[in-house]
Amino acid sequence: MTEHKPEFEINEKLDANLMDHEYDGIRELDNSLPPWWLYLFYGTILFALVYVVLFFFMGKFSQEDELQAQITRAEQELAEYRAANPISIDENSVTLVSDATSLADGKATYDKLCFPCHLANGGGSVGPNFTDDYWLHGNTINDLYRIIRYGVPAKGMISWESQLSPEQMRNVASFILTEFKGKNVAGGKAPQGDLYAEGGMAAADTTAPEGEVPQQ
Amino acid sequence: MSGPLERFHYDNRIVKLFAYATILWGVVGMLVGLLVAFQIYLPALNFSLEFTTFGRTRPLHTNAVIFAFVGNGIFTGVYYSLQRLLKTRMWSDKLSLINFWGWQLIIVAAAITLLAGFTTGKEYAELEWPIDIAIAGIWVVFGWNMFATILRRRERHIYVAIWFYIATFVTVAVLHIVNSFEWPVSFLKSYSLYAGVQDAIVQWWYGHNAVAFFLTTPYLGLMYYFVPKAVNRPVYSYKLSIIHFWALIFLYIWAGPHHLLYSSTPGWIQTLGTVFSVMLIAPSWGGMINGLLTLRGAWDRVRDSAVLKFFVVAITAYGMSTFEGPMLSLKSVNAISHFTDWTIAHVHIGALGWNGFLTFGMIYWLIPRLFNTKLYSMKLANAHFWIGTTGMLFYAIPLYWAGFTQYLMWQEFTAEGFLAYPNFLETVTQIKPMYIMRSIGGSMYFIGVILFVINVVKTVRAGSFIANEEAEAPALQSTYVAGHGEGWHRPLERKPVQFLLLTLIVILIGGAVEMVPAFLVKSNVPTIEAVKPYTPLELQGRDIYLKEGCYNCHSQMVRPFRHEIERYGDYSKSGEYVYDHPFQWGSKRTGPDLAREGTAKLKKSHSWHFYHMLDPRSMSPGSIMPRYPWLFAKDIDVSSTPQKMAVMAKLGVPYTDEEIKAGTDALKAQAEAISAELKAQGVKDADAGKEIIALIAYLQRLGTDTEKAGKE
Repeated sequence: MTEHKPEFEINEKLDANLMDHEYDGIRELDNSLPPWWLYLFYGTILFALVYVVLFFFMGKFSQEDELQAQITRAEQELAEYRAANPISIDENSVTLVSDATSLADGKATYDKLCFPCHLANGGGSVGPNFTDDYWLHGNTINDLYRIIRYGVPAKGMISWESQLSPEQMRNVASFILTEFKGKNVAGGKAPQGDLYAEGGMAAADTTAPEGEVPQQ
Repeated sequence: MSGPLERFHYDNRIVKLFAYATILWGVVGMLVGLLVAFQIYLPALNFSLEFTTFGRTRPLHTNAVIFAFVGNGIFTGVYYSLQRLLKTRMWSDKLSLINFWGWQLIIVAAAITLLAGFTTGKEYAELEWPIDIAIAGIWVVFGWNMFATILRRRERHIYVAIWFYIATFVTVAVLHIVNSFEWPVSFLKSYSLYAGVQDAIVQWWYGHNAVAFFLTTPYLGLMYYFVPKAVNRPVYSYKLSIIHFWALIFLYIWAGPHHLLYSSTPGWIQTLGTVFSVMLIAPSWGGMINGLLTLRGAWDRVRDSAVLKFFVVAITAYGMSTFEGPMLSLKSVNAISHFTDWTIAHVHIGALGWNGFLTFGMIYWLIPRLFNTKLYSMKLANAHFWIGTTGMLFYAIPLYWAGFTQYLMWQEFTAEGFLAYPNFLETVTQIKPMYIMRSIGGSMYFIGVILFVINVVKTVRAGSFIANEEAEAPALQSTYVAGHGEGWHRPLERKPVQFLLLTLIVILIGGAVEMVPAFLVKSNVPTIEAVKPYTPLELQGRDIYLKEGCYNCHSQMVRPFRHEIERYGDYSKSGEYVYDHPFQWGSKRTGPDLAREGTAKLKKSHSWHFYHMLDPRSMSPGSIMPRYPWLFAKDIDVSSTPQKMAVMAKLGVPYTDEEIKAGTDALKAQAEAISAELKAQGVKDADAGKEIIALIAYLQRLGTDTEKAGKE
């Protein structure tokens, strides 16, 4: 390959600092470091020094402090919000609602979050069947509200109070009791818990209680 | 001064072999990359086969691109340029060939074992111990051959490209060996010597510097050779070369902990990670300046030359990602980017732009010279350039968008104090369109690569290969009189052994300062009394978790942010990971964090997990997680239990001899209990001997130790 070694061209204006060595035809210029580059470098070193002094030697901005500040701020905001919008519902005071808007809201929640375990028709799969007359933890609106709010961790029912507002929990509990209770859908999960007659009284101990209801 | 003129031949055959391997593995690695890009939104593309599931194909993609494509690219460029810069043939053709075939065998072994599920579970260091040993051996062969060549050079001083090659050789050897300390359990199974926080520190010291010393320094060396050759202009500044070289290798090694910001690692090490990353901007940009300003006076040539176009975009991409990297190392930015697709976009600017384009430019320049002909089609090469560049934009922009969007959704609270998107899946569904765009961008880039292959094949066919290229140079005389005022660095350039040793010292400082205290100072990992070793069944389940590569999509590190605590539970503490050989913190959340999966806040029933692993969409409609049907067919490797526990005991996990002896029985008893519970929950075919049972046991254990402690 004869054309393999082209002579390096020289540009009079740009190559004033050409050095006298070459490597396989590669030449180097002895240009100074660009000042902006040098000041950038000094700037980052200065940044590093200040940062180390603040974070390490003075112990400022630790991630634990940052978290604490975040939580304090959130609690304040929440307190202000609650002062303006007090909660009127808990598991003791909750009442069954029957208006179409509330039930539609309950259905929306159910269809988004509940159906993977309890199925769209309430027949149950991972979670229990809502349509038969057997209930593990009671079947009043207060019982359902309590289960939804706190969950039954031992059995895999998670707590929803950090995801659903009190109104949403009331609406979905009302929806379940209105839409599913007593419907006895075909192909539903085998009964679990105790047989409940109308009025929410346990009629007989047909099945041993399996889970624990959290005592709140 | 100069000795008698000597004639010799450059070995072009080894360059050709490595160039072909670069192209082959480039195509394979990027094809697997495309597969994973599609799999991420079309989970059915795992074909319900364990070998083609994301948790295994993604490590194959990363390993193939880094170590096979770029690795062979490094060897191609080094073997070509080293001989010419030193005016000598490689010291040993035999060692060159051992380097070549050894490396290819390692790649094949890597591909097979990764797909078969043999993995250490440490990102970018997944290969199991026999392959680790082979890599160390072949790497030494490479270094030996390179150094012997340097020692018998005909050029007095070593050029800046070779400084970078030396730094690459030394540092990669140190990184690979230190991070690969693992205790074999069987032929293809081992446990990392380090656990939890310490494993994380070593791993990201390695992981970050794999980027630094495998993807960056060798390619800077290639840039210093191929850019001035291709543009036929002098390198902009020798002074800058010196300063940015030493600054870069000294500072880089400290920067690893920026991968662990807001994690359970001690604050001081995070601080070091941040400040050293920020200080890296200028040394990195020194390389970019020296590359781009070498084009001064020749910018008009860029218009006509596809090679130069590739180089310019490569160097620009290098400049962009080395600015972005330090920015991502600031805690406030990292809080946003970490665990999201922002990171993926960032690394692909580097991989597709810097490594990919520099490789393409280099090979377009090399092949015609090796085959004594002209490039088959400049038009085709230009087409490759434009579709590749556009492809990169289509790749990266949607992912930046996706990363930012997902972070905003993760951290949003409603006025009532609830997470606005409590269901993690909602935040995934939102960014699916961006995943689709990314796969289109990746496809465009790949089409460019096909054009590249066609062009190379046609060029090779038209030319005639020069296996041994004639050259001549005067022999090096033993006496040398230094020039006046040559500066402090020039003498070092004619003393390669001292150069190597100095490099070694410079790169050891950062690693030592970070790791020694992390291992020796007890207060860095406060003990948590409640944290106990895994049961035998959970240990087996954890190995399945590793084998299926769950860490590719799920983190186990709750950061100390209000939104993460609300979503996952209390933030993670270093003491929780003391028995985790290896650690499994992950680096990306395609799915939710699992560090507290077994706690009351997140706990699902055994049957939920059972159905979910069988078909994630049955429990979590719209999920993009693949199905794992083989876990329901494969038996737990029960017989390995005592050996696994014994190795863990050696590594410091407090299993007693009695526990190890009773391990198999304990495993079976726990499996039976889980199976019985599953049956009670209505899962009729819950066979206690299957892998799914062990995996459920492990998932249900996660986070429960500290939860119990909190209740007491």
